[in-house]
Amino acid sequence: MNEPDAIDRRILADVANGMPLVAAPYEEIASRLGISEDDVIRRLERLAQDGVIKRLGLVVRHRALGYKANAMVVWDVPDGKIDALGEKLAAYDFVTLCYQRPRRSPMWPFNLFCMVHGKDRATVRQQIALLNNDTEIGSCPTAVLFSKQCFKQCGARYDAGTTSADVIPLDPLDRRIVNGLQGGFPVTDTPYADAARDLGLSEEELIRRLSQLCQSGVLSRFGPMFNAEKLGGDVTLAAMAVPDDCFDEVAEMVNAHPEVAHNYAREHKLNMWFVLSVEQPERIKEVIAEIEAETGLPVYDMPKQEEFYVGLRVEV
Amino acid sequence: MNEVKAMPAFDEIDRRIIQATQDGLPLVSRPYHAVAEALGLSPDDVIERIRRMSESGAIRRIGAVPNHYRLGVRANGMSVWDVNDADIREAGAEVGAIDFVSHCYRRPRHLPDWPYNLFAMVHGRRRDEVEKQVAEIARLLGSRARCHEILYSTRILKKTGLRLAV
Repeated sequence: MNEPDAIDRRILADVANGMPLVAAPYEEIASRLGISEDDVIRRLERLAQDGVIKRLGLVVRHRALGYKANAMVVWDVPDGKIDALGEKLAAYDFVTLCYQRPRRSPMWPFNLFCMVHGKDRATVRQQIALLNNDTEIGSCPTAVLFSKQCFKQCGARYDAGTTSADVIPLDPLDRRIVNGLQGGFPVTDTPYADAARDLGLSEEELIRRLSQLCQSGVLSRFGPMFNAEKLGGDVTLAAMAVPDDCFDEVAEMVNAHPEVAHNYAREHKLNMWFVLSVEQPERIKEVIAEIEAETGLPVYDMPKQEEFYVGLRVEV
Repeated sequence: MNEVKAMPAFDEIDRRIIQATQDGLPLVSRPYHAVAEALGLSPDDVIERIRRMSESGAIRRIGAVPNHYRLGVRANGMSVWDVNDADIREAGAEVGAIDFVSHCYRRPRHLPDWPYNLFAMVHGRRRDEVEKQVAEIARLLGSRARCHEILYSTRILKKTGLRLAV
């Protein structure tokens, strides 16, 4: 399979929000992207063949259609049997999704997931009972999680830019710049010229390359890093256990606070970890209380009690 | 917090300089002059204040803030350890001194969900590199650590650094 190229990505970003409701939708997309209609069609066909696009068409909101009871059913099945049991489950027509996912002991011992939808909970419970009629499946520890509120459902959206996993190749000069300028940037009238001299390049070239490195995301930014504590403020690390189905929604709520300086998704029951950096130390407790109120989820405050080491450089 | 806090030797003008540069320095030949012009200050004043904030530690450093992921450092593991309270000082200092550990802190436990009190960040191109390094930390800590985990980051959700409200 070919990796989607830049034009493929732009097409995906364009169609992810819906096809244009016009007589010639591909022509419409083509004109927006400045390529030919044939090219758009050829690329969509290839993306579909490669499985990058599962299907083009209607994505229904099952809640709006009256399918109000939606359950995630999970089992802890022996690893050796998971393929066979997963296939059995997937064969039922009321099972819409069926996945193997990693266990997260001790809080989460389950490794087989499936979604069951119905007009009401009674119907869904009957369907689940049907699944558990299978003696092998029925003998495994299980849990049923009915969804309570739909926070967000928009399907995967593709960013036209690079994904965070994309690695940008650096040439030796970029490397010298990234390694040489992670600190110690001069505070003089013409600091770029002064730094460029030390790196053996021209001021113009340094400024041009730094803009490119910032634009491509190799650098989050170029400039001063401030220390909130030394400015009379405070910093803490905080963690939350966010359900998968509302993860992006919660990330948005958390990130909307200007005090959130960094936020990382991590693989753990506590799956969201963010740094709060505040000017007034008492704001830490307030921001945490605000986030708890907005999300309805507890926030674990993990302020540093002792700093053993803080390094600030990454060698490339 | 162990650190002795410096007197907030920063006034309203420093604050405006911080606000003007927290997203980055202007990428122009005379960036401090550009900041000065935007704020209606003299370039010498801006340069003097930035130097003073660098000396006081209010500015940790000035330069490039790299994005690990884009540099191919994809495995970013937060290793967390449940270390005996009696040993934490000594153990933390030892772990912090390892050259591949980029940050190392003592933080509070949240029992029963979170038994860990020592955090050490470890990075690598692949997870097996991180795991090797974590095994080294485990050897160093020996019986002083009851258990540990590695929390890999899977996505950067936000990375802006300190923000002063306008």
